[in-house]
Parts: sequence; structure tokens; C-alpha cells
Amino acid sequence: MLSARPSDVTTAPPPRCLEADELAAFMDGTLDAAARQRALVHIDGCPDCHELLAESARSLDAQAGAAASKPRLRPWPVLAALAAAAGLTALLVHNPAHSPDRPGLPATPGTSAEARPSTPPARLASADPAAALLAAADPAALARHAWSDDEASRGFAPPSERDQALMTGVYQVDLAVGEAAHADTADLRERVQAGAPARQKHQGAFELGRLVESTRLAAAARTESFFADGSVRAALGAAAAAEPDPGRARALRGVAQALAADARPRPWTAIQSGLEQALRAR
Amino acid sequence: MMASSPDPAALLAQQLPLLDEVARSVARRGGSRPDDQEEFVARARLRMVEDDYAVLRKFEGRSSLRTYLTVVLQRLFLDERVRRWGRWRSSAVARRMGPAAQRIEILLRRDGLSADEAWQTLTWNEGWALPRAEFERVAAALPPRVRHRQVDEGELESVSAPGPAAEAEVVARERAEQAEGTCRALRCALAGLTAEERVILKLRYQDGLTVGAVARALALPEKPLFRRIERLRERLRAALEQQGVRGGDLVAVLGEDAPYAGATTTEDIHALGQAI
Repeated sequence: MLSARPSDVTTAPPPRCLEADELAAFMDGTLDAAARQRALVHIDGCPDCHELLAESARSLDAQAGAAASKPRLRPWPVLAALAAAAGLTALLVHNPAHSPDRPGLPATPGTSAEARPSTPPARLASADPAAALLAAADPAALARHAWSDDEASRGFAPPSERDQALMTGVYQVDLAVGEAAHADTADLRERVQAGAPARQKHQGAFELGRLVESTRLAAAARTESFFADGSVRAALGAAAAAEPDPGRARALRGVAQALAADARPRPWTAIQSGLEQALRAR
Repeated sequence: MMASSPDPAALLAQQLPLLDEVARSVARRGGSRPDDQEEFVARARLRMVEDDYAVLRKFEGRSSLRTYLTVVLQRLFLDERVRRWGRWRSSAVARRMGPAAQRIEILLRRDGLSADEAWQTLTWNEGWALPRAEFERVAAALPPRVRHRQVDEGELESVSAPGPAAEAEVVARERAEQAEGTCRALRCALAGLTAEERVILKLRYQDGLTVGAVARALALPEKPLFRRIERLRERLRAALEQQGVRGGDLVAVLGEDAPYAGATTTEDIHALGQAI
């Protein structure tokens, strides 16, 4: 009949939850016998680790099923496709240091935030993978996520198209600064938020305040070429089009037009003062 | 430090398609809509570079990178779900039925929404493509939850004496006592198993994993596991019968509204009881 096993009785569960690499090694069967037993005892008594184990096993099962149902792709063609999607080929266009005879900037931005491609233009010519990764991050998706995390639960109204466009612009700048400074982007976002004006009633004003602060940080990190690539300009254009207040719409349009005016990076003070003017216009 | 590649940035650049694939799979399997899946992919990428590639620096090559990324991103996904929906342990039934059932259970059982409100929240606010009939079917299958609360003596004094329903209360109490006894016997039987055996049973019957997925989770060969699970059920059944509990009685006796201590334990036991 059933009897308690000595190995279970003598092995106390580890007090801390399993690290990801420990659980992964457990699942791949590479832990030694003692470590595996300790992990088992912990999983048996820890609902969180048990849930993580079960869900990870389901995910791996699903991945194996998906892999079995489609032909394998070699990595380099995939990377090439990703690079193309992220606009890496347009990189040199946006970096004066690498392309002195740069072609024209993108056409006048659309009025809808949804009209922009989900993957923003890449911003560095460097082969640095961190830069490539940040370039491939989707600020619009980040902005939507930030909203659902930070605002929805506090009872704020959903963001308007204009607010969404501005938030996207802010994240563009955050990412640009992070990429230039190789900073921890989460920490960066916190610093930007801490530097922004106190939360205002209108989400757009708050995001615009963040954009001003992001601009200052971008200036400090010397990411001048970023503003020439049209991403922030597109966000500002969409925000201006959706802005009901004529004064603010005019100020936002002015900044967008200033950014589109010529191929040279605009002076930081001009961009900043335009944004601040838009912020004060309401 | 990493065993094979000391440069996490290079590793990431090389394995970006794998990262995206794993992130998308985790989000899709968690019930995310296509838009949300892409958001999760973006956040997964950022997580990899945050804090100077801390996640990748912790990868020591003790497992495949796919397994490691799956665990890391699964934890990220679960953490985000807790942040968004709050901490809530789904019932075994909801876990077996999938993410939509887990969400329905949260709205109905934890948040106390009516069926109409829950369905509207799911379909209008959260974008689940869930026909009303399917919603009703899932909702009907979810076990009820009874919230126990402590009351002070003053409140107890205001409770009226047993009236015409006293007989029904006695029956209910007897049933609860019988269930508690059965529950104790099952706990006792489970305590006689090894940790690995308990985890196998929980993964199979509480979480509803296929035998193949259980084998994958525990790095065990799949074929012998079928027989092993059968033997475990037989042992458990025999241990219960020794204590006067027949396996067939378990489902009839163990209702989740019975007053057991600890919801998770109750669910574990209920799910296992159904299996025996």
C-alpha cells in the first residue's frame, strides 16, 4: 500500500521559488538527481511554480505542434525579412553621418494613427543588436499597453486618437533615447514620467508634457537624427488633426511642419519651444 | 554567465525569430487577440534588453534556449495577467476548459457580474469572439464558489433559530461531514505518494495536460507514463478503499461547495477525485 518515501520526508522544499533557468533545466531533464528532487518538492507545494510549469509545458506542446504543421524556416531569410520590415534599409537615409546625400523625407503624414505602419522606421545604422531590437519595438503597441496598464484601471477615459498618437510619439522618443544611451528603457520611462508635469486632467496634455521631457533627454543623448525620420512628425500631425482646440492644433501642426521643413535636424530649442507652446495653448 | 555564448546581444540578434515565435505562442495560447499578441511580442523584446540583457545573462545553457524563453515569457504573461485581472486561482474545471473559461470564471465568480454583464464585458470590451451559447455552456460547467467570512458574536446572536428548513440543514451538515471525511482520506492517500507522483497527477487531472505534455513538463519518457498514471490511480483507489472510501463515491460526495479549508487544496482534491 501507499507509504511515505524517505526522499520526500527528508527533503524540505526550497523557500524561494524556482528561477527561470532552473525550471527550464528541470523541464529539459538536465538537473542532477538531488536538484531535480528539490525542484519537485518545491513544485509540489508551490501553486505559482506549479502553474508556471503547467503553462510552460502547454506552450512548448503548442510550439511543437505548430512546428510540425509548417515547414521550417532558416533563420537568415527570416532575419532579412524582419530587417526589411523594420526599415533597416532606410537607416542610412536617416543618419546624416552615413548618408550625406539623403533622399527626401517621407510624404506628409496621414491624419490617422492607425494609418502608420505598426513597425516604426528604424533609427540606427549600427549593427548593434540592441539598437536593432529597439528599432523593431513597436511604440504604438507600447503606448496601448501603457494605457491599459496605467490608466484604465484608475478610471480614466480611454485615450482619443490624438492622445494615442501623442503617446506613440512619446514612446518613439523614449526608445530613441534608450537606444542612443543604451539605457534601461524601463528606467528611462520612469525618469521621463517623473520629469513630466504633474498629471493633468487631459491625457493629451500629460503626454505632450512627457514629449517635452523626452525631447530634453533626447537632446542630452544627442539623438538629433531621430526627429528627422518622420515618426514623431507623423504622430504630431495625427494629433493636430484630431485636436479640437484650434490654438493647440495650430501649435502642434507648426512643430510637425518644422520637423518636415528640411532635411537638416532642427535645432532642439525650436522643437522644444514649439512643443511647450502647444502644451500651454489650451 | 552564459556557457556557450558570452555575448547576450549577439545571441539575441541571432535568436530574434525564436523569441518572437515563443512570445506569440505564449500570448496566443493565453487567449490574447492578434493585436495583443503583437503587443506582447514587443514587450518580450524589450524585456530581453532591459537591465543590460539581465534575462539573457542569467541563461547558463542548462536547458535549450526555447525552453528557457518559454518559461521566462510565460512568467511575464502570467504576471501581466495578475496585474490586469488581479490575483485569482482558477478552478480546475476552468483551467481544463482554457483561457476563455478562466476569464468567464473571474467575471462571474470573483467580480460578481451577472451573466449578461460578463458576456458584454467579454465580447464588447475585451473583444473575445465568444457566441452567447458557448458562453452559457462554459458558465454552466463552472463550479460554484462559496465565500466564507468570519462574523462576530453579535451578528451570530441576530441569526434566527432553525425553522422549517432545519431538516434540510441537518442533511447538508451530514453531507458536509461525510465529504470532509472523504477529503481527509484522499489527502492522506495523496500524502503517501512521492512529490513526483503528486505532481504527475495534478498536471494530468487538475491542469488537464495530455500525457505527452506531462512527460514534456517532467522530462519523463512518454510511453511508460501512460502505464504509470494508471498504476497511480489504482494505488490511490486502493488506499482510499482501505479507509472505507470507494472511488466511485468521490464525485458524488465531493462538491466544491463543501466547507474545506483552502480552495486550492479543495480543487486539487476534487479534480483528483473525479479521476479516480
